[in-house]
Amino acid sequence: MRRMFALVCFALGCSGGIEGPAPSLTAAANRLLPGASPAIVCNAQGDPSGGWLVDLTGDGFSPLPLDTVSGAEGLQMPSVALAGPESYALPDARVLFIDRTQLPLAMPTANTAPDAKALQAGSYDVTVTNPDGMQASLTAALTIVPPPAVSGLVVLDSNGQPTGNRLCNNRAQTVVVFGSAFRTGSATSASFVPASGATIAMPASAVSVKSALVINVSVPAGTLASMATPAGADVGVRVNDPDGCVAPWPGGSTAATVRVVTTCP
Amino acid sequence: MSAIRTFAAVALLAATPAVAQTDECDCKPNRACVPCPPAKKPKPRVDPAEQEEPAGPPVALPDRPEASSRRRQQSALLFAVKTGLFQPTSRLGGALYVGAELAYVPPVFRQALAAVLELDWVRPQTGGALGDPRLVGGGSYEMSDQQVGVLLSAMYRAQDLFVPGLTPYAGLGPGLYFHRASVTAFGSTNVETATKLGFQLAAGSDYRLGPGAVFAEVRYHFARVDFRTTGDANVGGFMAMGLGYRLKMF
Repeated sequence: MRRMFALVCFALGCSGGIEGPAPSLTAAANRLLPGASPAIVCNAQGDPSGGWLVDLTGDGFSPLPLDTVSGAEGLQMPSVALAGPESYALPDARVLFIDRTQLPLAMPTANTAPDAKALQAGSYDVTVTNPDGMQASLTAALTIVPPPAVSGLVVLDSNGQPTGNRLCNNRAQTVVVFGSAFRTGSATSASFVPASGATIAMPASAVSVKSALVINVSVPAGTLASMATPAGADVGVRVNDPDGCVAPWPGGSTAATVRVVTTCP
Repeated sequence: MSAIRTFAAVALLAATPAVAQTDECDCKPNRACVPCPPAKKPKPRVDPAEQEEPAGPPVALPDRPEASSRRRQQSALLFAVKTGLFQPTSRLGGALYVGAELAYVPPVFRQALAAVLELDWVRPQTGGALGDPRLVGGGSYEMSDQQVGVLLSAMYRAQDLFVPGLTPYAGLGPGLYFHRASVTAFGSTNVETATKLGFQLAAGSDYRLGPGAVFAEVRYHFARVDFRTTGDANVGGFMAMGLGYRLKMF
């Protein structure tokens, strides 16, 4: 059939289009969470330039060199489109290429410039289309999650009694963080951010996501010695989702601070 | 008078070097001839127009200047094969060029005109590195444009213009070019095809040798394409140092 077309084309004088490889798509993974399938991406926040990198794996990804004879050499990348709660075609500049089996996407976020994009949360199908028009799709390849938000906190003493927001460095205490969109079952982490000085990150073993609304952070005695003052110093609490989103976003105001004092009687 | 013309014609034909004959006849008007081989023996009563032409050089090939006008008024079909170096005027590199042609020489204008139908093939290539920032590991490509041309040319042939046996010629005409552009990059190959009209200019010269004639030729092809992989470009160029051999079919 192809030969017949070529023969007819030859006789009539026409263009036969372009023929190239057909892609296949087997998986998508967020580089921040390579083991999660489908890929989980929080794109309401992110790197201001690169966004979040999501690797598409498969075969037959085929960028097309352009204008190789006319002199204005260029490159057409495979196009990538998302379909779910909304449809979105990634800008060409955000489709990268490693080899015919790996196609990284620099997923834009609400923070990236100049093509900021905050997708609605939900499950998305991913479609890759080579420049020759051949395409492959992967259903529910990507899950967009909303960023966490912190609305308040309370410090519990060793007996489980609330003590307001005072955190005594000489005692083991628990900080209960309230908010939304916390990721249960994930490696969520937390850190204490002073007004000046170094941030202290709590180990994953000290953080327990009780629900999408509550996180418990265990603070052993002496952990915040560098921040503590006799009169107490206000220190912010930051929640870090493993997919890259944090609450509050660096530079943003925080609704949750603890007053860290050196010693409590 | 008829016999004299016959003698003269036979003598001229016999004197043509391409004819495999060692003993030439010494026939002159109004004089006795030295005996010729039986096949070449003059037949005084035969009309020269009906006389069968001996196997020898094609009439459209370079001929002796004193060849009879009668012979020049016969049509001829010539076949030639040629090869050469094709040098595109674009970024494409030089490539081998091969072709074959059929030429019809009508029995008019002393066989100075010919209609030539040519089929040729050439596959110039280029390549390079791609520095696009979206390519994590960089990359390179190889591109080739395979061209099959069907060319129709009108040729003017100046037989024996300076030297006996030497026939310069020149011509031009349209061409139908079948392009197959193939780009290999990143482990994949993409192919685009199209048929486009173009034109060509040609000039060369025959020189009688053996049963036909060798020829050298230069040629310019204008063949524009507008593929995504090539861009809008003239992928034609010059066929320099083209050499070939031309035979008379009848």
